[in-house]
Amino acid sequence: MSDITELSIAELSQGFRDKSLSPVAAAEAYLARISTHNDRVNAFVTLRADEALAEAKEAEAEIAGGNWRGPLHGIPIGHKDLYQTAGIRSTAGSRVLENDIPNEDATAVARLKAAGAVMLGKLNTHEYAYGPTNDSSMFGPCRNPWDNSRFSGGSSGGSGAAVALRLCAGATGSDTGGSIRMPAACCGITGLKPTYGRSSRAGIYPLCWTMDHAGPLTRSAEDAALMYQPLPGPDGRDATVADRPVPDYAGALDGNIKGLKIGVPTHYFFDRALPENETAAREAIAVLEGLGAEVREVDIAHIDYAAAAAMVLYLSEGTAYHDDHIATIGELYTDQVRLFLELGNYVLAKDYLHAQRYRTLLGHAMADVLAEVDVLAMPALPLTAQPIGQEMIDIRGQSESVFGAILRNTEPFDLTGLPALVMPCGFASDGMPLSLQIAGRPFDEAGILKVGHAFQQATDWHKRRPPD
Amino acid sequence: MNARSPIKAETLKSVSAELAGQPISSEKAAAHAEIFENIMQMIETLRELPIKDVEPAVIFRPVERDGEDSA
Repeated sequence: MSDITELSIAELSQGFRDKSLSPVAAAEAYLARISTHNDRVNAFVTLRADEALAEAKEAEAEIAGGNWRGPLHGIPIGHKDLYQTAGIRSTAGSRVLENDIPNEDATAVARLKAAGAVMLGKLNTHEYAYGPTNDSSMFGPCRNPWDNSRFSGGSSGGSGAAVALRLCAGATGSDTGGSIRMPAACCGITGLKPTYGRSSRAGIYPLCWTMDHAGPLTRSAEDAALMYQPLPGPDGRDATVADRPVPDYAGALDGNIKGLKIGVPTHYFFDRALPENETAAREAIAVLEGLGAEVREVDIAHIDYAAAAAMVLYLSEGTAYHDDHIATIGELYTDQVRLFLELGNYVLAKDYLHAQRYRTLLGHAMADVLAEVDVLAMPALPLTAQPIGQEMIDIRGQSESVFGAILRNTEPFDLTGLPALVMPCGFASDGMPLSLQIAGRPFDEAGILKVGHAFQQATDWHKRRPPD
Repeated sequence: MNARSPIKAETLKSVSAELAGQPISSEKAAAHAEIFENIMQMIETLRELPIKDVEPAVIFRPVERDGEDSA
């Protein structure tokens, strides 16, 4: 075997279970790669090498003793630094929390720990998840592993860069406007935003309570299924979590999508994307059609208002959460995040409620469409990862902000809470990854993962790696 | 829909100090006014939507001490 860090979570897990591979060797290999490659991307911001090796040894001993906990037992992962980790500094990428050490794990951290995952460390994030590029962080910008002069996407940029560069086998992220899916798309990996209310956000610093989601970033849909499996279900801490059966996500990946109805939106997602992003998505959809899916055009009513509604919600809820700090320790925030927090003071309550009413309206429009088709497919992003610090971009002759553009195709599924998966489907002429997004019906994570897995069985985009 | 006046720096300075309790400088208020006018032009489009009979998508759950529901 050439390099254990090349293996998927599924392959590692099988090897650990049949004892052909060692969790300790895997942890050592990942730690070695972090020591030689992390400086390029600035993904890991807190490393726990000794503790991770101890956890790996414990996992190896447990498995040897016949106490295999499941597919994540011994798998080396990283957590977004927005997630609180007991006894381990958890900064949210902000000087406000520079020395903060929580007493309790986030629910997701606790459940992955209980599943036997090995925590290598904490990963860079856009400050308090309040931005889509991960270039505003107390640790400095997270860089794209495909081109270190470009952003990784955010806010879960450390997670995206680390998984793509094989610094960990999988990572956690959070998604309020696209913060799992944007870095996954920018870095050429797979990202799953589950349904709102499917799994707990307890212990994850909030950006916007009504739109925050938590989920995994991995190198394949199969790995996303494995890593997400322990997370759904009530925890008594997050009141939004639904108490409903949890399917066997990996077990549903049979590769068969014959007869699946895929809706392709006629406007908004394609016509305001860079041509290469549009073309790659259409080619990916053609692959799915070749696997037996039925493709038809659909129209989503009221979709054009998504950015306005999302903006109101970020500004209102973000400022409310940080209200006690803006006037007293506002200088600790990065300039961009402090600006957003200050702007939130000017939003009227009636506009906040208009935005929340719009979400109901858009939810009905999406439900109407998803009554006719099983999933929706579109480019994950309308652009590729851009140079760090670039503020504007020209898309089809129209100049707009990078922040506005990069959020466009992911935000609608935070507003509606629908599950969405992104996965690589090509490369642009600038060398940056291109990605397809699949969105599904509420609580149908299994359905979109199945589509992703079928696509990845037929293509090898998810196996491409950034230059070493 | 009622017509809105362009946002003035002095308005934002007053809102920050008098409503939010977070005073800002005149220079910052001027910068905010330019940015927030653009944001407000986006936001006010929501006022034109057919949402008269649509309830907001906010979640409220009564607190039950036994279940330690955190809502």
